[in-house]
Amino acid sequence: MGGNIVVSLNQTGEPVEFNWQGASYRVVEKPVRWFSRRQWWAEASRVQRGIGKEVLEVEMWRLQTNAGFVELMHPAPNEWRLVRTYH
Amino acid sequence: MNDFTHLHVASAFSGHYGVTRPEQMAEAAVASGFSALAITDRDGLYGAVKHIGACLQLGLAPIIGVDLNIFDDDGSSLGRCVILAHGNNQGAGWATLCKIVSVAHERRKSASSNSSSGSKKDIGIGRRMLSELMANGNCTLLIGPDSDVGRQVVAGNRTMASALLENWHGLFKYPGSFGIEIVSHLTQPGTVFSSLQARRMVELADANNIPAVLTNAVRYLEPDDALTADVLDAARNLEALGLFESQPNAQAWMKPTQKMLALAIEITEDRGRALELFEITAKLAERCRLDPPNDCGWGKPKTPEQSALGIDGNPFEVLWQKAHAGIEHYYPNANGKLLLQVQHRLGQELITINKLGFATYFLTVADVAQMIRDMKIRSQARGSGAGSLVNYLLGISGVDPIEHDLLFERFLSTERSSLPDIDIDVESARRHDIYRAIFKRYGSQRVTLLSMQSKYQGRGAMRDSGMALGLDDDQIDQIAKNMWRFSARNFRGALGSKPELAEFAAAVEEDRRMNLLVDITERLDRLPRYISMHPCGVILGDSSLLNLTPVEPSGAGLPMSQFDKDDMDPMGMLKLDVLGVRMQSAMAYAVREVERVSGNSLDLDAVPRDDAETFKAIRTTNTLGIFQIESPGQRELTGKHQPTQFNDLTIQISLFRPGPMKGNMIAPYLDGRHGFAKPDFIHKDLEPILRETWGVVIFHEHVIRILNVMTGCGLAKADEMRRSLENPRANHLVQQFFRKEAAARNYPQAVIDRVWSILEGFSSFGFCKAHGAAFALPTYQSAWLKTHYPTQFMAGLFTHDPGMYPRRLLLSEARRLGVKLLPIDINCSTNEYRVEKDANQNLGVRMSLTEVQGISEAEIERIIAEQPFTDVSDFYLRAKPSRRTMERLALIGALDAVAGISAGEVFTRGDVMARVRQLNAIKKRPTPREDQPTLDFSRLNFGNLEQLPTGHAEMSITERVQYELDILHLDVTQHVLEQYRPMLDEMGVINSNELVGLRNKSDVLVAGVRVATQTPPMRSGKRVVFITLDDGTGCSDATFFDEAQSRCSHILFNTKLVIISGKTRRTGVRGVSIMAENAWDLKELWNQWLIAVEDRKQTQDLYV
Repeated sequence: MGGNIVVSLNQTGEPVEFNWQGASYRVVEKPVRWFSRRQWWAEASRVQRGIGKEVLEVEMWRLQTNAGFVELMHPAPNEWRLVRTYH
Repeated sequence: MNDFTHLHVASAFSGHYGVTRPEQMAEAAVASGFSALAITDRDGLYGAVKHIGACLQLGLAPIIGVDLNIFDDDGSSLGRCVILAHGNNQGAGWATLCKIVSVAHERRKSASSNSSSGSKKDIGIGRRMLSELMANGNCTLLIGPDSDVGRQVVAGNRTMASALLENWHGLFKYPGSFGIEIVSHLTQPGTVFSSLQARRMVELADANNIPAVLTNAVRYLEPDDALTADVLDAARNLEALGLFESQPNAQAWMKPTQKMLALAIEITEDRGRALELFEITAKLAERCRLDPPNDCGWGKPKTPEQSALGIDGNPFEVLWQKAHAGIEHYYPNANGKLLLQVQHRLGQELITINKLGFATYFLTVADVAQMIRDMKIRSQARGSGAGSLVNYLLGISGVDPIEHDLLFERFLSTERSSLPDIDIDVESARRHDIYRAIFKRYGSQRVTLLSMQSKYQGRGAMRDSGMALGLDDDQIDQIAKNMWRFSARNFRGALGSKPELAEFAAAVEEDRRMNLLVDITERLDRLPRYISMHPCGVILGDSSLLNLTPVEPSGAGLPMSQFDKDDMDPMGMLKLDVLGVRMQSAMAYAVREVERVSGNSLDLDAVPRDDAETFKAIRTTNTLGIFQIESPGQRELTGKHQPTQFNDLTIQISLFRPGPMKGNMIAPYLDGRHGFAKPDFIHKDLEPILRETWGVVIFHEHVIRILNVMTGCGLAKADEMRRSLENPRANHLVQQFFRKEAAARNYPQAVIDRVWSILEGFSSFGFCKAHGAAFALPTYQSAWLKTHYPTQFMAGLFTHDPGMYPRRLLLSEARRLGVKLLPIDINCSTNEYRVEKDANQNLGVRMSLTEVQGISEAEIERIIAEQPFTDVSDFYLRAKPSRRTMERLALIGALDAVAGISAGEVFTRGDVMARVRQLNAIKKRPTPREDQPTLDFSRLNFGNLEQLPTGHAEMSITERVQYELDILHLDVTQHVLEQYRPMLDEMGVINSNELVGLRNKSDVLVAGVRVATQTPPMRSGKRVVFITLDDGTGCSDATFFDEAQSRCSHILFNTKLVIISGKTRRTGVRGVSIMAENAWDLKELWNQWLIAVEDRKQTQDLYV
């Protein structure tokens, strides 16, 4: 659903706020984090020792905002993508 | 807070599931500050002994359990659960765990009554059976996220989950024997292994007052390894990635305590409850810590009880008597001096054996050896055991250690307390008979077979990687074919340096999936792949053996331990290697044929070992079929070495090893032997030790004696030091001791320095002389048979196929020896290669029916049972061959004799074929009983004298050979190369037996069937390819270095008929090899030549 978005985190690393398409959203409940996986065999170009985690795993967050639920993908530090919204 | 203990950990020995070796896990556990660690492999205790060993070494408390499928009463799966053995209860927990695992595998046997071996899915245990085995409270069962309860929890069915939990709890009532496993792999909320599921599992446990235990269901050490786990999942499922549901993420790693605590808090959302989870986990861990000596019998030698061996009284006294009784038999004519030597040595060996308490062990092995002899099966001890006089006198070994100057201390000494290895070589064809006899004699409670874990290596790793990526089989085969002699661990490195991988390297550049293939092949390399029966190991114990090792069914139909050979010594288990050696079968067969044909008995073991004819034959280098010295390299060495006595064979076998070759020991030895250089013994004290090898240190025995002479430490201690030489950490202690003691004995500093540098360099090179001598015996015996009974010997080789070469090369060798090859004949051939005597008393070998492509065992049995046949239709009616077999037999001439062709009648093989076609055209084969009406078939002459249709063309020799090659893979009529003779002659190709007469560096062309391609490790590290061609007159060996390889690498590994150009290189008196320059596919040249000949003919026609 588009490019990188900017997310503000609290001290424990949980998202508290983010901006998307010019609007700002506030997280209103304790967010839920989990880890999902990628189909590296269909995407990656190398899978040598040492890079297994980054090609295989991806961190996900489900946030309850003032405007409904959203799911963010957090594949790398400072990189956040919006993958889904529910109202 | 308690430190955390991982209680659910799969090691790499959880086949196609775990990723990390136990030793690595244990080391990482220490680094993470854990004080204990469990291994709970899937379906068995495969990694248990390695885990315990690593823990003991690292000061970690070992815990062992198993991860098993549990079945409900109706056979449906209740999911995988963990069962942990309790420790410090004198082995009660361990024995229960072993029993549970063994029972879990029995199921597989019964489930597989109609297939050869049950599927892995059948492994598991019924819940009720499990509860009975655990009724004593010596183990703890944990049911987790993947159990029936866990699944209901995920689905949100709390009531259902509670009811299912009650089913478990009602069966496992013993306090502390049942718990709930809490796991979160931080998966998506609402799925298995999510924190939400874990939280509900904790709530469920609390509500039912059942202990909850935290684990991370570990299957790899670090998150990076998860990727390897993906590939293993594909290999286990036999499906490409993406076609099945793969693991949810990379969280199943061995997380440190802090991360586990954070996880516990995330699950419980309550720090207090999280700490309680930790506490209960710690309590269970405490209870499961094993005391390996008392729980598992760690390090305590176990042998069958005296009663099982049929011995009364003190075993040592029995051993003493048996050994002394052997003196008269094995040294009948010993004079005073030798007798004194024998008695003195025997006394010393017996004292050592008694001190170690191994008398029962020797009696056991002697008992097995005697049993094998009683079964009339050839056998022979190999390895360091041949250095023991006791073994010789008990009939375990056939080599006299005094005559061959072998050391007992290399085999056994009071400096070591591990059980010695005695390996017995037997006829391979009778090996399973011996196993069954051992089980019968000692009882199945005392005996199991040994298992072995095979590892992923080059091609296997690549095939499974390719399968995981969904690559095309043919594509993988193409690449795998070119993988020669390199570790898959460095696959990427090999891409740049191996010419035969150049094509693939180019594909890797362009194709993303090929790139992945390389990376995951490297990851798989050396991981355990599957467990199988060890080719020769039998474990002999006392009646408690099955409390100490779990067993599972094996391919041989006998129970097999889940432990491998490396586990034997730590577990104090007695392993006997009963190794099937095809050469022993081939020799036994030859001896039986000699006896059958001549009517005289032959005792091969009693043949004098100094037969001049035999050594003369060996020196010709025509050693194909002779044990241990038939490889191209050994043939070349034979040419240079020119052995004249038994000890030469021992030396030659020991020299031709990677160590001595790398250590450049061969050249100085040969120079000394042939008088090209004066032997250098370094010091006069070493001369008696090294005289036999012209000053070159070859044997372990040399090192032991040198250390003993120069330090006065005694032979037993010297062998301990020799062993320490191989250990880089202990090496310097030996050096200190050696230098100090040798200096104290006034050896000059220069001598000490030189000897030390040799000893140090020797560490990885040497060979045990006793082992070499034990090998040399079948070498000599096979050479003797080949020299004196070539027909019977070749028949034995054909039947049991013992060597490294294809059978058709042995055929070629037989022809060269003048052994007559008799074609397959339905009236004479059987399922073996029998020796036949013709009317003139000439011997020949009748080819066996087993070589006919596609023939079934039942067809062979019928043919043998119904022989002889009177004509083709008689054969057709009574032997009932399939149409295809009938046709094939006719094509290779197996019906010629019965059709009267060889008797000089007017018929041709074409006529026989025509008759076979007639018979094959009949829809239903009539029964051969005489009262059957034959009217319908009168046209086909059943019941009357058979009339063959006539007038069909005879087959040419070339056609005959081609059919033989197609149907038998053998060229019986003549060597396959003969048909290309006109071209070879025109090209000036020479025969391999002419090479020895050529000058050094002559330009030559040789041709032949490629019978071996070898890429042995070389001193320089560069790859060299050795190709052996057979042209019917013998073998020619060509060496391809880098430049030559680059010209023709595609020919070297895949082409069958080859022409090679190069220069001769003399390597010794009878040694010649070819420095190759180029190689071609003979068939390609042949096609070009045929066209050229045709052109020439037309050109000539033009001028006529």
